[in-house]
Amino acid sequence: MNAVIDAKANPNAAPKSGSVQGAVAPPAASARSTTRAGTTTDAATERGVFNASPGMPGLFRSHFDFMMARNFCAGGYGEGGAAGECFSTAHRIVDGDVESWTAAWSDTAERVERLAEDCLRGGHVLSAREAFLRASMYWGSAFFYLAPTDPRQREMYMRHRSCFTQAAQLFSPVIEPVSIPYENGKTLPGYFMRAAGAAGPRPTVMIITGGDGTCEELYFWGGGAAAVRRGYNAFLWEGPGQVGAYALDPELTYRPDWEVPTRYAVDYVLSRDDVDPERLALSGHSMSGYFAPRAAAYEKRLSAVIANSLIPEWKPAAMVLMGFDPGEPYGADLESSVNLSDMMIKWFATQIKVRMGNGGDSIAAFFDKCGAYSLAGLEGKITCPLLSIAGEAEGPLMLAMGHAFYEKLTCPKAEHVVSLAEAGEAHCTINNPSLKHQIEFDWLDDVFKKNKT
Amino acid sequence: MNAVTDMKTTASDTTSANDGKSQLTGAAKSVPVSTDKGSKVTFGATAGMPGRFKGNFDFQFLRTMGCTTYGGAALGECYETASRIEDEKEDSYSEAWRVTAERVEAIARKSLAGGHLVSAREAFLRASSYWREVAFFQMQTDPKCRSSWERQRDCFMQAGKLMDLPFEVVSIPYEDGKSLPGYFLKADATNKPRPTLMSVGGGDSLGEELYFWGGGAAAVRRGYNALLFEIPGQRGAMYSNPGAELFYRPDTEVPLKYVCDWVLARVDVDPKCLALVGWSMGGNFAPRAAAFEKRIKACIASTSTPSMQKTMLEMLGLPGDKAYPRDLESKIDPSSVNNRFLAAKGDIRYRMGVGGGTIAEYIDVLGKYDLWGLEDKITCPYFNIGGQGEGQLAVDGQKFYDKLTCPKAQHIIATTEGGEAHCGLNNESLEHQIIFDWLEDVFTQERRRSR
Repeated sequence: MNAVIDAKANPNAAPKSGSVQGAVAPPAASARSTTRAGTTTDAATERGVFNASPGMPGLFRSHFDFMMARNFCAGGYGEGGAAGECFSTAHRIVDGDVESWTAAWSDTAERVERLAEDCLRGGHVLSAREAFLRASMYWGSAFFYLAPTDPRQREMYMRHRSCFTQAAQLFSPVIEPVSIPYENGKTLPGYFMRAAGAAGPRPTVMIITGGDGTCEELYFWGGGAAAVRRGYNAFLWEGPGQVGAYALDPELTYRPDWEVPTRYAVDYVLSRDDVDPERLALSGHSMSGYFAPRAAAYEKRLSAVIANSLIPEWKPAAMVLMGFDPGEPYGADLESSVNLSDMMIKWFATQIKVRMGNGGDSIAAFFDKCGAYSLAGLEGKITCPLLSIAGEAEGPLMLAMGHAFYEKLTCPKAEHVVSLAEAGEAHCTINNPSLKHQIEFDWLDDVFKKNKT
Repeated sequence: MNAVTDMKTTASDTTSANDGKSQLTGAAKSVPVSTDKGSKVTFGATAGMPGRFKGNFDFQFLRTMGCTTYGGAALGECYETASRIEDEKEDSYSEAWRVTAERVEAIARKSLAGGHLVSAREAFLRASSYWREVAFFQMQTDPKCRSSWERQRDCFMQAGKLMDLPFEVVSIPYEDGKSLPGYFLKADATNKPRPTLMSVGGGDSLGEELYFWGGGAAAVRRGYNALLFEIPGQRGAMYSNPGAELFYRPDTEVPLKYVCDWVLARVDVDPKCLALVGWSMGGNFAPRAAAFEKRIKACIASTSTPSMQKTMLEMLGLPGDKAYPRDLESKIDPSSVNNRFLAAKGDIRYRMGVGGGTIAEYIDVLGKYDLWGLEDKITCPYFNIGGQGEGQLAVDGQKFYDKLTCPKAQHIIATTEGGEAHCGLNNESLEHQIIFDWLEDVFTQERRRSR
């Protein structure tokens, strides 16, 4: 793709003979418009968390639509996005068909990664960096629905990771890959991003994803890029059980006492002389709406905590996402009533359940263990300032649960439920990272200003 | 979702220029539009488009959401706004964006008042994009158009004040005491001479939005200065010279002479590395200027537009190569927003200086915007970039490119590359990667030669 002067060859990727380019049949557009808000068919998306709403693409009826919004984040934060790559990939996907999803995104990821390599060879460093970032996001999307037992999952994860680490080297200052020393000689993956501007100790935000992501993508929608622009350091990391940590070491499964991995992460961060120990925040997304407040209750070196969104009880959330009514008592045999043909329920059974270390257990035993992931009784133990962010489209169960816990908190606190009208209503504010980061960092600025005075 | 097997063609498949041309002709024919509300030429409804609207709104929606690439929009804000727009209704379009623009501008002002400067800057950039859309389908002469344009400019300038790198609002002296508005973005805070990209839009673009898709932000990231400017006939240039009737003119080398005078008077501009890029109708303006203004050391056209008259007729669904009747009013379906915007309503016609005239008189005037005959007068390195979604326009651009005798290169972005839209608007990252990687190679060679 290196078009130089005098190049007679047309670098245009012309179609192979006989192929028809980019056909959009007229019904496609009208079909799409009928899939707008409120017509989801996926059981898991009907009940909560990933609801369809006006601020979402509406390209799919299934959870694929949430993932589309997430892919737009590959550059949706001013870091070199490519709407056309997302739309054209979407056109090759059959809704709800995971194999078509995997094939379509890996084709796009493959192509954009090759583009990045070509740019790098040509010495076009900035172009290479942006393409590596997009390729990383696309690889992450490609393996998203694959079980950890599928060899393609780890293979694509490694490419997701290598594209990101290649981009990381092309930043100034570089984004540093970190192996956080953890228990029993094990390590946790992470990246340290130094704040833009002058040297010296800076406020720092430690950022974690939840049940379905990696630390790499936190660069985009987790707040990594947003932090360094604002003079904050960002530490993107994963704890045990999270997608990357588990792919790198399957012995690392989730644990409810998140203050333990957090202690190791904080030890690492505070070993650096560019981190201001008085201004250290932990920001948790999705399932880390449980983990982050839990860690803050015990890890007192944290001076602020953000939950997007607050999940005081993991068990009812897990039950809803697997298609069960959290209000109903359950017996030992849930296997006969679980609907594994539902994409997201299957995803939960082959992903979260496995990465929680319950792969061989019954679903009922898994739910029992989920009960340990509870913030009940910790309301008074969280003493640092807490920001709760949620989205209107996350549904009444999640919102009510989060708000009830928030009400009981005794620490300095703030809450922002992003409404449909604010156009950031999706889970993790995934459809509006700009708004999310404005809310988070404007709050953090104020909290840390008070710390200084 | 269809077109599964068709999309397997990968971007690495290359072919010779001749093969590419003939196949592209085929591709152009096979790119369908969602309905007859759109245009097959320039604004094709291809796989890499949102498909959110049936006609021209889909392109315009893409243009706005594409600004996310450089922080000029947020995905949710675009989709939420779209959910309030009635397709093909300009008033509903304008009102939906106004609500969003007001809201996001309020966020910007609140963040600014609280001392949260980066949040303020980012929200001002988005609000600027949204105010642009409020005015987009309105007439230049409509006071509402002017006030929304002013707010988009004000939001952009507020963001500019908060940028990390030096950002200058400039006024370039032009004929008879008039001036051309622009923005100069410095590659760094020093006064060392840097390669510089001058960027100019087309028939419907503003100097401000060139920051996003016109290469402004992409340039400074890569160590280039960027001059985003408007020429006579463009909305901001007209508003900046009230009463002056600063209409479009085909001899763009005249305004470009003033622009080059101004930019080359700066110590931070390297005169050996001065490029001009023209977008959309700027794909006609830039090559024309480069043919006569030899201080331009590299020219990029996205995409080369050799005949404005032919292209406009084809965008209106009429044959581009035949004599047209005088009564075009009866030949153009006014129920399509595409046709209203391009011709029937008459905003561009007004800015072409034929406001009171007929559509045929407007098409007559467009006949003067023609590059044929200038092929061998362009001597600087030339890059033609287009997209398969542009249909016949990209084919015509390639025909012109083929006749050029200067050092040259081209890239017609395939649908499979996900950047096939007019001006690369559905993949600004790819568009800018291609352009700047070429430009870097050109200027590296230039520097070696001059050493």
